[in-house]
Amino acid sequence: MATFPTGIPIKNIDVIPVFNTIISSFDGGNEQRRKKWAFAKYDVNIDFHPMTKADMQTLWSFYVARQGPYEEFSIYDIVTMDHVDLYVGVGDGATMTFDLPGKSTSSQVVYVSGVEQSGNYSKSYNTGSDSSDQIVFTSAPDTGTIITCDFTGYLRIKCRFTDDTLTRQNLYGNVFQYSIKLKGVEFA
Amino acid sequence: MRTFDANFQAQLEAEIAFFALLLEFDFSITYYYNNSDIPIYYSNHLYLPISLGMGSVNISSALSVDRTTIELANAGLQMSSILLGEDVRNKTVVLSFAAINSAREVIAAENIFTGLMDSWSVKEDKATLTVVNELVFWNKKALRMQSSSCPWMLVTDGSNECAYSGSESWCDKSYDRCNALSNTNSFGGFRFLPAISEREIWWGRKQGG
Repeated sequence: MATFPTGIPIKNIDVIPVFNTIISSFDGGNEQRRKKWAFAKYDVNIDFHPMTKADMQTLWSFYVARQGPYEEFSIYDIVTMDHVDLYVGVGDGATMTFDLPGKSTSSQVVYVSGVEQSGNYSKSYNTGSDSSDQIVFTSAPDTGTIITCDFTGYLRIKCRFTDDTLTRQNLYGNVFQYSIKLKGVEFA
Repeated sequence: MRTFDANFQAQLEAEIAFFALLLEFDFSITYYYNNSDIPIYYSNHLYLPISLGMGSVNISSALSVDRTTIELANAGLQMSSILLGEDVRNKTVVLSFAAINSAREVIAAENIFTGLMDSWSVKEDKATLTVVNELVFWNKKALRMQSSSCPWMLVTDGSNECAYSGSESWCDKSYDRCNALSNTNSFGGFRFLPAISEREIWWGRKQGG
């Protein structure tokens, strides 16, 4: 999976966790809530500073290579934060190595079926897909078990471009302006 | 009266809950899907996440066929491949509702509808399936009405259902003619049903008058 290009000067970035909840509320005052998604998805809005032609070309080429919203990609948050209850994967009784949804992570806590794991896995940094960190279990988690984690680090967000169009704004000369919206997709 | 699993019941009564719809297609290959965003493992089967929606389940005390509709994502044309690749009509479809715990594992699941594939349509972006229960067979029209006369076409080489091999060139579809042709083993009518040729027709207001 491709990774969103770095180095283009960002003016403002919004990272928006999105949940999907059905809420039943009637006159009696009681309320019931049911969640539709097991994990949040993350939408991202980015406003760039006026950029050079070279930066514009990088962004332009990345958008065209993804064919707009067609192909998903990874983007890393630009600040390290504490993250909890993130989806890592589903055990199949054979897979021992899993990508964490982040990089430069620390304080990792790994759960299998909600049970905190200790001493049965090792950590590997920047070795996973799109330079994400990894965990390697000493024995494969059972089939059907859900693996989750907490960590401090840069969150890896799976997303796609929201729109089928991308407007290039030529401010003057070789100075360009972009604002893009990214739509989070499921981790699984 | 239907009794739910106690854990399932507790989830139904809770203020907050996480449920997923489990869908099983018993086609030539059995497909397992769920409508959440993660794979769900239940009863030794992996239910893959897919974008799907379920219409209302129509169950009536009147003489109507219980049915529901299911819509599945088809942008990847996976459902087109499945549905067009084999005759899925009358294959079993099982819909269950699963309560999921905070570790995202199934606490308990309850069947909400089991039926047979009735009709389906596929579009570029989604597939719509209609699932009915077994009572649909009582609602089917018969392929042909029974009659006293034979429906088969006379042949002389035994090549169709008539199976007559001989030199005679006509048949009036009656049992008597079939008997004359010594072909009653292949007679396709029901000889004891009233025949139109035996219907008594009156001329005038009084019989024989």
